[in-house]
Amino acid sequence: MRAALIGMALGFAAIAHAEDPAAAQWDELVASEAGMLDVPPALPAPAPELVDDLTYQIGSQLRCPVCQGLSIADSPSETAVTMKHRVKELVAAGYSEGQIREYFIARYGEWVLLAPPSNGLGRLLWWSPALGLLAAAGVVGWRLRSRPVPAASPGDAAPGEADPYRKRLLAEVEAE
Amino acid sequence: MRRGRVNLTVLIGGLALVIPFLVLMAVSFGRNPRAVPQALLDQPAPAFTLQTLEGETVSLDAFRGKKMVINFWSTWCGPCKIEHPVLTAAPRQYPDTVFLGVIYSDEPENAQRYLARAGTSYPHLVDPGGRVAIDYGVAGVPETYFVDETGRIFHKQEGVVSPALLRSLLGGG
Repeated sequence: MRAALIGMALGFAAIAHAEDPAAAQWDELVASEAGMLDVPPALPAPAPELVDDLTYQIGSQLRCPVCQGLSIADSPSETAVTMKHRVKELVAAGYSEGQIREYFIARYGEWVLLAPPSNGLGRLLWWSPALGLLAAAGVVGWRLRSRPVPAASPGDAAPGEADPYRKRLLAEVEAE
Repeated sequence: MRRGRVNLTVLIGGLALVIPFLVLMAVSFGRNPRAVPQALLDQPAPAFTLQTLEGETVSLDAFRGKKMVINFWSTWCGPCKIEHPVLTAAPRQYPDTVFLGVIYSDEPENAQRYLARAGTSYPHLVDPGGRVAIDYGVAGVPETYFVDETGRIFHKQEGVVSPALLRSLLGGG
């Protein structure tokens, strides 16, 4: 019964909508798979002994979706293992590090990168600590320069000169 | 006594430092920092060719022009078992929609045993190595992708599918 139902579902779907106007649009969309799979690998397939190292290197840059701050290379979770497996497949096929990163970004967003990319908003994030320090130093420097310096007037006494005790002391010394 | 005057420079400098943080907090509050972005939303559904548990070959292309519901599940996932009766009943309620299950990180034998016990009404596909799951951006199970007649993913459900969700996305029922 179950097999019959499933067979009906598959058969019905395959033939009933062959003439559907949406089908042409579907063909156009699905013919080229999303992401980088419609482009050939950028590199020749690496030597088999390099595949694991390359997989680890790329996997260590990709965030495990179900962990906290762990890369897929370091996580034992089912999701990370599955993602690592996919990275390994793509490495073995000759896809470059950049292509594999793009593949994962297309599916999980830039969020999947453990380090923000150094372009666009990511570049701002990278430079924000230095920019903050520069801005703070600028404000402090500007404040110091613009602080009014007390003007010295000819009548101003030297520090301590107006002190009554000092005056009395000086008068007594002179009297002797 | 001299009353405190507002130092305009300090005020502007302070606001310049504080406002970006306030904006960042306003944008970020209420957002789940662990939520995985739905990057494939409104994008073409990645093509695949897989085998059902019964050994039949199924391609996404076979369902062109049809609305589809692709559910990633596994037998070790509790919420998958909660939504299973809802999905099993759905093909009868939505006869114009194709329902497919994709087994995620699990042995086909486990899935077969579970389905023999719990029943099913649509094909379940074996995804060796989870390749198709990663092509779809699956981060955990259950996850369900709703594909429209033009082949675009129009909704991604993370977590249990409810009858109300199916009604709102597939209409009628």
